[in-house]
Amino acid sequence: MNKQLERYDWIMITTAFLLISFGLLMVYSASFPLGIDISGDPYHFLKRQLVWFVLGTFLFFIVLHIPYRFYRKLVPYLVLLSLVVLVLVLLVGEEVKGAQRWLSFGPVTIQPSEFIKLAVILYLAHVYSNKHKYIDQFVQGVLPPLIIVVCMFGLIILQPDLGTAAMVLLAGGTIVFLSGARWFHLFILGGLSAGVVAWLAFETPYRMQRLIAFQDPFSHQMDSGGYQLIQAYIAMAHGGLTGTGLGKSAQKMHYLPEPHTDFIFPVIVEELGIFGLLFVVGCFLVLLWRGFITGVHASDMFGKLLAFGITFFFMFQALLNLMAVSGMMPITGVPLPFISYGGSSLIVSMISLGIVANIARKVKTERLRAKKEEVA
Amino acid sequence: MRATAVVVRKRLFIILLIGLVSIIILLVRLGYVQFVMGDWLTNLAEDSWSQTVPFEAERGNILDRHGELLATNISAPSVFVVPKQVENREETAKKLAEVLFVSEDKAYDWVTKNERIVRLNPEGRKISKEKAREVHDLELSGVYIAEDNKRHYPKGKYLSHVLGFVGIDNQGLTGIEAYYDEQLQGERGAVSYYADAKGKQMPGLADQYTEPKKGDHLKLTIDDRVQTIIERELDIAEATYNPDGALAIAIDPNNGDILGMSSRPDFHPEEYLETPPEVYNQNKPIWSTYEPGSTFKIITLAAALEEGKVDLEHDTFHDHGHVEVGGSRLRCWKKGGHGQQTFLEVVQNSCNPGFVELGERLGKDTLFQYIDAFGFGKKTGIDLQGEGTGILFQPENIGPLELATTSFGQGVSVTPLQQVTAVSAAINGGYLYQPRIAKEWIDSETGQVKETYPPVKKERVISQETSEKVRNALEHVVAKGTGKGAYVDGYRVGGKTGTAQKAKGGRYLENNHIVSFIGFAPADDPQIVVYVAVDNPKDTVQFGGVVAAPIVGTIIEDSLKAMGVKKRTDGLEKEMDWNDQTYIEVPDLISLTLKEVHEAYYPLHVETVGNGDRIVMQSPQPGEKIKEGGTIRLYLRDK
Repeated sequence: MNKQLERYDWIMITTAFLLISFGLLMVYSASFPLGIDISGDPYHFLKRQLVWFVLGTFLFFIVLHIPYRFYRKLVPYLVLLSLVVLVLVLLVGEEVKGAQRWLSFGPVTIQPSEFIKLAVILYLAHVYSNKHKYIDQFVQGVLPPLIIVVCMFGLIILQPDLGTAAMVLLAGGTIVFLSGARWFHLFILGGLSAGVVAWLAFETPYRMQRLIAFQDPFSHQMDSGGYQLIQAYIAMAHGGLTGTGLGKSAQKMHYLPEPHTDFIFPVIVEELGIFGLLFVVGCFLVLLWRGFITGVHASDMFGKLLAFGITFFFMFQALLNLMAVSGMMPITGVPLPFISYGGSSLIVSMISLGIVANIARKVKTERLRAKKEEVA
Repeated sequence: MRATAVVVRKRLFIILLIGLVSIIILLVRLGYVQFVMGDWLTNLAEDSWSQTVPFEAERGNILDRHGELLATNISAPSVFVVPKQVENREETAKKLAEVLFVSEDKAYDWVTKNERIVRLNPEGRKISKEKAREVHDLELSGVYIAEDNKRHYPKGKYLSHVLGFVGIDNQGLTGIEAYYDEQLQGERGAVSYYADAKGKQMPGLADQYTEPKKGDHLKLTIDDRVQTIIERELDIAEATYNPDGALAIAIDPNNGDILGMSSRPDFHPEEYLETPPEVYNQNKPIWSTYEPGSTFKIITLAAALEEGKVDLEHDTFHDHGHVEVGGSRLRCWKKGGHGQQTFLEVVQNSCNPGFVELGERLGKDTLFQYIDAFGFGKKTGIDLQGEGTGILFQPENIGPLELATTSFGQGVSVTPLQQVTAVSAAINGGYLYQPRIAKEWIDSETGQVKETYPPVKKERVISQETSEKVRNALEHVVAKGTGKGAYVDGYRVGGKTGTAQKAKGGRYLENNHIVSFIGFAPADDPQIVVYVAVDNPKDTVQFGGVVAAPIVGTIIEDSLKAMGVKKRTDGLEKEMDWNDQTYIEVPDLISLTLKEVHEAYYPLHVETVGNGDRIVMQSPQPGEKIKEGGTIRLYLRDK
């Protein structure tokens, strides 16, 4: 029994759950004024997030025990399912604030594009670990899998959700980069993606606004982007060194838009000061470290690409979110993984983490076995 | 085939490096936002969180010199709306519109305005208690009634130009209310509390209450009793003569205290919105400028006496009825002249050629030096806004004719207040005071005097001795000369009539005069100087002394009685020329202008026939004898 438990990467799992629990607490704190407003129930958002959390935990422990190589068999179905779902979103999706991003199943609404990110990582890890031998050839090696990614990108753009679409590209790019594609090919692909994303951004006025607003929020007060950012600044400044104390954020009182989702970090800093900040950043660093170690020790290419892909993808998401709320990047609507309110995001994050934890488990199991053999 | 393991490791390292560098940059940036921008952002935040509901301080009262209430405040609630708390906008707007008598559109604007607190300007502000109750009874969410007050002037139109009035925010707009606005206003108080972005109070943060500080009470130099008398007399004058306007000033010559001041047309300060601006903006006693006419002769007289250019009792002057100066003929108001007379009689008769003589004896430099010293051509410095300066001849433009006309008060323009302060200096022993309205500030909390304004003595203009002579001469004017209308038994009134022909666009207006009289009493120890001017009295042509002088006499008599000044027994007896039913010779007025008639004084009433500025016929004929107080009919025609 003891030996069974030794196989898990407890540091990774504990840190993840610490971060998620902290997230639940902060979602409650940041959302209660909004909850009272919406339904008169301060626990409105917490209750929903708790349901997702329970489901996520359940899924996490299942995934933790599914040998990751099994997914290689699933990949074709996953890709097909992803494409079908994305088309469905466009056909029967629920429209909120001019964007068709959600699918409703009775009381439950999910955002399929969150799941797509994981599907893309799985798919590309699978394909490139196969194609590894001829990865330096563009047409046979690098290009074909990307056609599928471009299709998904296009479907998400149509919702429209440029932020998530760009994240899908980023996820794909990370895997392509790690799998050893030539620099020349990477530059072409990178340049092309950047060009398309930039064109899409500049073509639409409201996106353009956001792109400009983050650079000088104070002269763009009237634009939602500028206003949001200023409110985020104010929250963080108000928190100062020690914060105002848990639950005592002033900015969440309808000043800061989205205080429980994309802009939860400023609320954390406002209430808990530098301690909240360091705690969140610290937890992410620990996860990065554990994920990285897992990737390094994974025995096969698929495992490596999957572990690195997922780990770095978490890192990028967290960075994009934190940079957006601190005014270093345009506000793109990327949630803070494990913490921001949102069922789809939480579930996907926990499943992804479960996969990495499973790879870690295999690494440890192999090590234990190797030790045993040595002893024997 | 590439060495993939090495490549992957390199790339891992690159991504890791990018990640870690980004994290470091991020931490620096977060630190910058949190700590470097911190203070500034926190201030920004406090501003955006804190809701301040201002409490206007109650304005200080304005009192007369004895504490009589002239301006105070009465309760008048105000309605305000917090749009974010309004539940049903259409409904709320409709109900408010009905009660406050505004259009629904306007009310809808109020309840939807993108402000935290909307004041319902002006229909919903400072409304009656009954109206406020009606609004309250509507029980509309987001609509509140706040305690508020508005300015109240218990005496109505009384002293309106001096007091001025306040706007909807209780800010002084004219008069004393504007001049002393800051100290009357007090300090605003406020309740500030932290509110969320929807205007609801944030829990856990304490309110901050700054108590408003009531403004100080201002005690004026105005004597309510004198002012009441002045207002009454001007009302009578308005009713009698239907003039274009009228004004009166009463001043204490010994310190420059304004005891009373009034102007017609007047207005009710609480109804200033319905009053034409030219009415409330023109505080005529300090604002209007016009030819002083004969009252100005007092200055010439004082200067000549001080310079030793004339001995009133012994020097004589022969008046032919006119005098030639610089090629122009300046006439005396009396046809054919006053003949041989002492200079005291010149003053008594207000004889223009006699004063031309005095002016010539003084010379232009000396005369204008005195005019300047008596304060003409510049503001007196009274603590009211809108004072006029008047116009004098430029020194380089003064020729013999200008010197001559100036010495009997023509061709210069002065304000009534300048005349009053100058004459005060001439009769009070020679000191020119700065006239003043505010006397002292009283702390509204303690009732203690906080600050007193001392009288401001500006300069000594003439000697005590000269001043005594001036008083004596002017007492003669009232007892025996053209100022008989102002005679008050026992109060030794001194004074001088004045008539100004109004000018417009550099030309004199025909048949349009300001008749005035300046008087003081008692002549042995003057306690009050009163000036009254009636602008273009209509339906009546009277000798100047008949219109203005009696008003001044009445004001002086009633005021001195009220002030408790004892009657004298050693004054000059009035020359008895009508009470004895004596008969007098009818003067020859044919070919005189109306102005000259105003200047003249005979104990007769005048009736006019026809229109015009010049007398072409009269009845009875010159030389006939009629009873004192009888009527003389004048036939008028244009020149």
